[in-house]
Amino acid sequence: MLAYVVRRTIAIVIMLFAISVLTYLLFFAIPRDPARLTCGKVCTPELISQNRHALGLDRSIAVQYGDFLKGLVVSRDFPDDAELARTHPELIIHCHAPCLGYSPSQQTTINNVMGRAAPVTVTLTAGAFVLWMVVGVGLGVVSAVRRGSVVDKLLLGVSLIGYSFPTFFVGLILYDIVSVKYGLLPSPGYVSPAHDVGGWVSGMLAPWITLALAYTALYVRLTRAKMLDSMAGEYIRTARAKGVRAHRVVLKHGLRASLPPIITIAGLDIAGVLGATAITESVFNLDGIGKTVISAVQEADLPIILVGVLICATVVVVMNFVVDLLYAAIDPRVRYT
Amino acid sequence: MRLAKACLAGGAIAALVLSACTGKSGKGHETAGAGQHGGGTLYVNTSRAYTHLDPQRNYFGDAIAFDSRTLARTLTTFPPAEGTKSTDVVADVATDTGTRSADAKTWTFSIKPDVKWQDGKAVTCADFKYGISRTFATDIIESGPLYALDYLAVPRDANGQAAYDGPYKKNGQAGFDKSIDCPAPNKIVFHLRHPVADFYETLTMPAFAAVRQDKDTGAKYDSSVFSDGPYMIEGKWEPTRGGTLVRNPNWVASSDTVRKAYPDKIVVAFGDTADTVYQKLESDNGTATNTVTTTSAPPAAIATVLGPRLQNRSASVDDGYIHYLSVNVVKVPDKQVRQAIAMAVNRTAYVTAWGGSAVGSPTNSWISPLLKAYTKYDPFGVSDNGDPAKAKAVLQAAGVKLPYPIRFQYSKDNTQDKAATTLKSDLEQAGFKVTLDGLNPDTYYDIVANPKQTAEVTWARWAADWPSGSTVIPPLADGRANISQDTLGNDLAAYNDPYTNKAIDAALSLTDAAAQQQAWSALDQRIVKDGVIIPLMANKALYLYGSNIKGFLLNAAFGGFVDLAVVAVQ
Repeated sequence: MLAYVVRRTIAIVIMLFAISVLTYLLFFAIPRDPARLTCGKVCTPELISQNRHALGLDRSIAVQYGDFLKGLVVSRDFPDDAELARTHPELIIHCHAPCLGYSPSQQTTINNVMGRAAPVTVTLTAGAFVLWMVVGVGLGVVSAVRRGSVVDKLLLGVSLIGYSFPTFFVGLILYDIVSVKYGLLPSPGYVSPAHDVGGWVSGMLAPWITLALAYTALYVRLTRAKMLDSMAGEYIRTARAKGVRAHRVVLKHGLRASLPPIITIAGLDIAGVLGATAITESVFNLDGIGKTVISAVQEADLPIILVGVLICATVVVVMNFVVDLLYAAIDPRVRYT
Repeated sequence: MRLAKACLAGGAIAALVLSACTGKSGKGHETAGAGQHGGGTLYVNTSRAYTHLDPQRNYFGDAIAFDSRTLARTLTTFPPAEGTKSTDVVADVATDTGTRSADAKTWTFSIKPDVKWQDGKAVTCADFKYGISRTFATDIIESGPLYALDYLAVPRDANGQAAYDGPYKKNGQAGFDKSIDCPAPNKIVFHLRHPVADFYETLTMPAFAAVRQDKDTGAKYDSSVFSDGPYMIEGKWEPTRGGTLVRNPNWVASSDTVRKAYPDKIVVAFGDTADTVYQKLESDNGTATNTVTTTSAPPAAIATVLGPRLQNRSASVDDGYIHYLSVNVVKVPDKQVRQAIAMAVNRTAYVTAWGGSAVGSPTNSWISPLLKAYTKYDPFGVSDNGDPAKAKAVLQAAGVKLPYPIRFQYSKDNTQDKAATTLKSDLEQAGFKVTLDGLNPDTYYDIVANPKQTAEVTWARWAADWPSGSTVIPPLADGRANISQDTLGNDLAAYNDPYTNKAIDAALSLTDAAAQQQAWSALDQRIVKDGVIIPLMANKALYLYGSNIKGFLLNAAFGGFVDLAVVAVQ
């Protein structure tokens, strides 16, 4: 088991390294010149090349990438300009290790940018996750138990509709129509739960629903299918024959047996939901990682894009790893060597 | 290149411009009498964040209009007035619009008494000199307008560039110091290296505003601008989120004949989509009643905003942008072929595709109808509807093989797709074979300015930096300043005509402002008649505002954005 964990960890590090290299190469392949963006409407070729130098973009991609890696272990200064450091040290921005870089468009270190954005994305995802797990699995159980009834058919139909709506559409409807026009949902926005839990819940309610809707629908159907499988098992009949009460049969024997595959898929979905998170953040004007990265693409702000991509990649590979481990923990038949 | 990316719903990217209002703009302005509407909180809800609040880096109309009215006073400015009246520059910090030498190379201004920083210290010549010097630190104070580098009599290096790198590293400081004189704290003298007949208009840009040396934070100044205007930043300004402005207690109303500064507080919030901004304004609930926006109405909202319910809370203005086509003279060297393209184009259909008369009107001139350099003329004797038959005859006379193939590049979105389709059908009726090439708006100007990737015909739009042809013809049509091996700069037609270049030099050296504007008009007509540039539409911007807003005024001179000098909340 330990050998397996070590092997996988090494593989993850190599994969992240490869992804970061690829992001660098892709960025420089974009037909967009960050140096051009540093001077206004009327720009001379001399000035562009001067600013390209100031931004450090005239050095080879390998050197620039090396600086990024170096920053992970030693502090960096922005701009890295010895003359300016001598004449006006107060204008230099220090970035302590692990330094993720400096964002020209936000005028601060990536550590600061991501430090502000991460809580938004984490609480958005976590809240939506709880919502879709509780509501989705709960309704899935109801649907399975009442198989063939009107309730079952209704739930299946509604979940199919819910699953069909794209996130941005649901978001716009909830924000523009439900919240702004009719005031049926509190006005969305992020406040830190550390300051104001009530404000945090009311501000995040609409984004949570938006993000959770499609997954809730999916989990209703998933849970129903798994429950129907396990409820058909011999041990369920045995339990019933022994006179175990109905709700105990369903929750203890039926649902428990259905949970491992659902948890496995949920782990992977947490990683997969990042794309929808970016859309939800943009619609509701939440400055999370997704929205930050989207505007960085528009501003050709490479350091933010790079770190954003790495964060997403890390979440995906780590969640995969965690799910694999969890699988072994839940199912005694699985062993890693 | 930032010709105008404002094709996006944000509309936020206008450069400073002048223009005439349509009848509806400025409605209610007269009702906002002095003192009647003081107090309250004004909300500014805008989709796209202001690129820079730092005056020397500020180059987009929305942020220029905001900065100029709240935090950064300039020696001269545009008055809060309707239509072309807003382009008649008035004194702000200066006592008048300046005294110039006969050769228009020396300009002298006096600073009014009682112009104060937010800590109560007087604003002096040294503060203006320091502020302007920041423009030269192009590696730190990046992306601002660079007129100071060209105009001020700072010694040149071997490449002809200003030999001064700004107040941080101070290389060449002595040379810069001679270009701006401070004979007394309240007196400022500019020495220019060539005549600039409209220099008093140049000085309206926040790039020529004062900055206090002890408050300068370099690249971080955006979030901590130290104010000499009627408001100041409360706490910290967040470049991507916005912030709150409160009254500057040291602002002296009598020193300011431009700003009424009615609201006690201004809260700025960025980041909602344009649709959400308009949904909030339409529903007019809560703070939306006290809200104005610098995001123009997105296509989906136009019909509702113009409808009877919202009519009395909406206004539109000619914002000074001209939409035009550039015909690449290297790829289409035959003048008759270019003229045939120009004759075939149906401007009426183009305007309809963009949303009709609420969003623009057809034009034949590259210079906005709101500039003094504008002349109404008809280059080819065809109506706004174009004349494909006449165009075809010209094309046949040119002796080229028909159909003549053309690739047309434009910045892609639903509206632009529609407009491009109408242009394609016009041109195909005239004997062209058109391939449409809609490009990603984020990288559009990078691609069309790349000599290897640009097409025969490209779309663009542009607005003047101040009400003068000097900020239209030279930046767009002077091949020497624009074209290098890697880029066409702003000159998408790859136009580098010796006669035009010489005429540009001659016009720039004119000391008579009226003669200079005539010279720009003559060049405009020459270039358009050569079929190099095909002007299509003079753009309008449409806005909605909350029901408690009084004195709403769109200032044409500031790119048609709301003028916070006179807006009040009830």
